[in-house]
Amino acid sequence: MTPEEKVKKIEEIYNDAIKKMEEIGKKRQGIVGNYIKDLEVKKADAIRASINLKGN
Amino acid sequence: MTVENDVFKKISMLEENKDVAGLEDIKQTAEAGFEGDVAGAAEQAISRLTTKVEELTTTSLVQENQIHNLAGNMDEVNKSTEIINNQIKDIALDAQRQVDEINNNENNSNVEIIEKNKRIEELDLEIGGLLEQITAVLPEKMKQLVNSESYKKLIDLNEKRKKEEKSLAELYFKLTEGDGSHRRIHFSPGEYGDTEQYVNDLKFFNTSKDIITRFEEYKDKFKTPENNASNEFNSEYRKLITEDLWKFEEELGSKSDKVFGIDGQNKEDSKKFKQKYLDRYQTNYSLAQENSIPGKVLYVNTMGTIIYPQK
Repeated sequence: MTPEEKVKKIEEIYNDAIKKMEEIGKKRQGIVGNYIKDLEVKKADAIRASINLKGN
Repeated sequence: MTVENDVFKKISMLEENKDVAGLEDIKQTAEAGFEGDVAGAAEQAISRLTTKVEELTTTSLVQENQIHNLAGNMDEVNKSTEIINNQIKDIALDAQRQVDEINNNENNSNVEIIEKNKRIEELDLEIGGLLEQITAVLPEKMKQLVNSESYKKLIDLNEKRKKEEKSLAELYFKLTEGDGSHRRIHFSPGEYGDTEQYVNDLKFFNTSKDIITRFEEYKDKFKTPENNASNEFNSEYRKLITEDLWKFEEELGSKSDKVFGIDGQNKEDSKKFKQKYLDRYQTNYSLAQENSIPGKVLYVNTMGTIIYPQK
């Protein structure tokens, strides 16, 4: 392989890895995002429950 | 016209047409390009991969603040993203290995590299499958272990011994009160520590024979039954968990050495590959333990608690 071909090959490996990593990175974002959503729902439920208690 | 001018012309056109996707493509192509010789390109690729891993496996400060403000727990986030983080790291490590290989091995032909990488990918799939097999059954086996008689006996004896130690400590302090010169500052016979010195102290204070006997017998009262229970439990642990791990390690070692080779850089690559799977086993083991038997330890011996099975 010539040096130019080697550099090209390194670029290919790099691009391929970045693509795969970003794909999996999205799953990670999903997990964190869902966790935050769950917390928001829990907080909203708690506020609702507290309002109901005061109302009663 | 130079290549550079071509690019600038294209950017101007895309800006004029408000083509955001096209501009993004240009940006990515520019980011993916490497300057300089092979060594320089390899260095840049590895450095950018490392940065990308950091970026993708870190929860943003904004999200961290949100979690904090919503009374969430970052430990929970870290636990649930651990496997994904490892997958991201594995991809980067694999790419790094391939880049290193191109950079280090000037004589390798393109075909050889491609063939070797193909063999490594196949090995990755095979070992990944084996790991999946042995770790999928871990939760069930762990439940079996904590429900076993030997485990219950071991934990029971451990608790009783701790209780006896506490009681002896209280007694010792009560009986030796008032004379610091004949009292050890800390009473800590824990894990069958030597009680001879405490017995001597108590004799100095003319403590009754039955209490002294209780101190003298403390070690033997627990040591033998606890060791017996420990041996019995370890043997069950070995049958259910460790033997699978040993077989896996053996398979991983021989296949990895065969595909990577055992000289120089190859040996290092093989070592990294093996470590990657042993780390994954460790992660899966911890997760299985947290999920199937929360709050329990699995391997108890007289030196304390060891969670990871040792050969």
